Amino acid sequence: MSHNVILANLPYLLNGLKTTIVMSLLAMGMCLIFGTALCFARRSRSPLLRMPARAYIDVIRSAPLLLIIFWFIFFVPRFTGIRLDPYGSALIALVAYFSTHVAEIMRAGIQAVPRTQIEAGQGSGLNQWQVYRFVVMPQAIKNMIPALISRFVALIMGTSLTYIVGVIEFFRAATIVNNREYASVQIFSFVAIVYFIICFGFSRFGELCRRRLGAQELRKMEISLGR
Amino acid sequence: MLVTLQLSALGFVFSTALGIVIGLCRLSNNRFVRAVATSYAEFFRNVPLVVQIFFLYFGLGMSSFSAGLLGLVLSSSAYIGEIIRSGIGAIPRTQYEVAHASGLSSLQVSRYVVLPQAIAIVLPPLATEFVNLIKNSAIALTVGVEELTFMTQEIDSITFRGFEAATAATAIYVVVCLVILQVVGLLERHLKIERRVM
Repeated sequence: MSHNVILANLPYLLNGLKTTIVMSLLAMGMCLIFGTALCFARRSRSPLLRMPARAYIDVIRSAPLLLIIFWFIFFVPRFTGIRLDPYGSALIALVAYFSTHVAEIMRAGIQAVPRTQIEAGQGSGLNQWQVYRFVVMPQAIKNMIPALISRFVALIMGTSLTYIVGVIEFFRAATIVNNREYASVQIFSFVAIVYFIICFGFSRFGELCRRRLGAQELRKMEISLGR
Repeated sequence: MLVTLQLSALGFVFSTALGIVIGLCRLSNNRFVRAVATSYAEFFRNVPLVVQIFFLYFGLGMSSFSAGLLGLVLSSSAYIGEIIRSGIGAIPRTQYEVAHASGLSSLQVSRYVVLPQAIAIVLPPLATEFVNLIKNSAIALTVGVEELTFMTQEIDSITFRGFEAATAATAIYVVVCLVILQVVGLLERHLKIERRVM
C-alpha cells in the first residue's frame, strides 16, 4: 500500500522535484550576483550606497521568508504594474531574501582577512585592484565557501515555502497527491526523506569544504543568520 | 499577532529545554547517546519546517496549534543543541584541567568554570535563534489557516486584502525582530566587555 501511493505518483513527484532543483540552482546563481553587488554597496565609502544597502539588508533579514514571498506576489504587481507568474515572483522573493545573507557572509569573509595582509600587499607594490584580486579575494572566498553552502541548504529548504503562491515544486506536488490519495504519513515521510538526502548531502559537502580549505570560523555569523 | 507571540514564547521555552538536552547528549561520552542526538539534530536541521509541520498535522492528525508548536520545537531544538554544543566545546580543555588541578569537584567545575563562560558564549546566538523562531512561526500558520493555500490560487480576488495584511504583518515582524536584534547587539557588547575584564 505504502509503496503503491509513492510509486503510482512518482513521475508527478519527480516533476515537482525537478522544479525544486531548477529553482534552487537559478536562485543560487542570482543570489551570488545580487549578493556580491549588495556586499560592495554595503562596504562602499559613499553613504549614498551604503545606507540603502544596510537598510535593505536589515529589513529583509528581520521579516519571515513567507512574508517576503507574499510581498512579491501581492505588493510588487500593485506598484510596478508588472504581473509575474507565481514561479517568477517566488524566484525573485527567494533571491531578494537570500541575497542579503550572501552579502553578509561575503562581508564577514572579507573582514576576516587580516589587515596586515592588505598592508603587506600594498607594501610589495601591488595597486588597489591587485591587492583585492590576488591577496584579499582568494582568502575571503576560502572563508566564505562553507558558510555559503550552508545558506544554500537553507535556500533549498526555503523553496518548499513557494508552494503557498502556487508554484508546483516538490512539496506542492506532494500535497496535491496527498489531497487525492489521503496517505499523509507515507507521502510526507517520503518528502522528508528526499529533502533530507539532498540537504544533508549539501551540508556534509560544506563541512568537507570547511575542513579541506581550513576556512576561518564564520560560524557565529552563520548561526545568527538563521534560515 | 498574539498567537505568534504565544507560539514563539512557548516554542522557545520548550526548544531551549530540549536543545540543552540535545547539546549535552552530543557531548556525551556514551557513543550511543551521542549518535542518537547527532542524528536527531542532523535530521531536523535538514528537512524543511513546512514538511515537518504538514507531517504532524496531516500525517499524525494533530491540531493545528500543537502541530505548529511541535514542529517549531523539533527544528529549533536541533539548532539550539548545536549552539549549546559549540558553546561548551569552545571552552578550552586547559580550563577543565586547571580547575580540576586546583581541587574543585566535577560539579564545582561545571558550576563555577564551565557554565559562566558557556552562557556568555551561548547567549547571543540563542537570542538570534529566538528571532528565527518568531520568523518561523509564520510557517506554522500555513496549517492553521487552511484557506491560505486555497486563497492564493485566486490571487486576483484577494489582492487587496492580501496586500494590506502583508504590509501590516511585515511591519510588526520587522519592528519586533529589529528590537530583539538590537538588544542582542547590546548584550554582545556588554558580554565582550565583561570578558575583557575577566
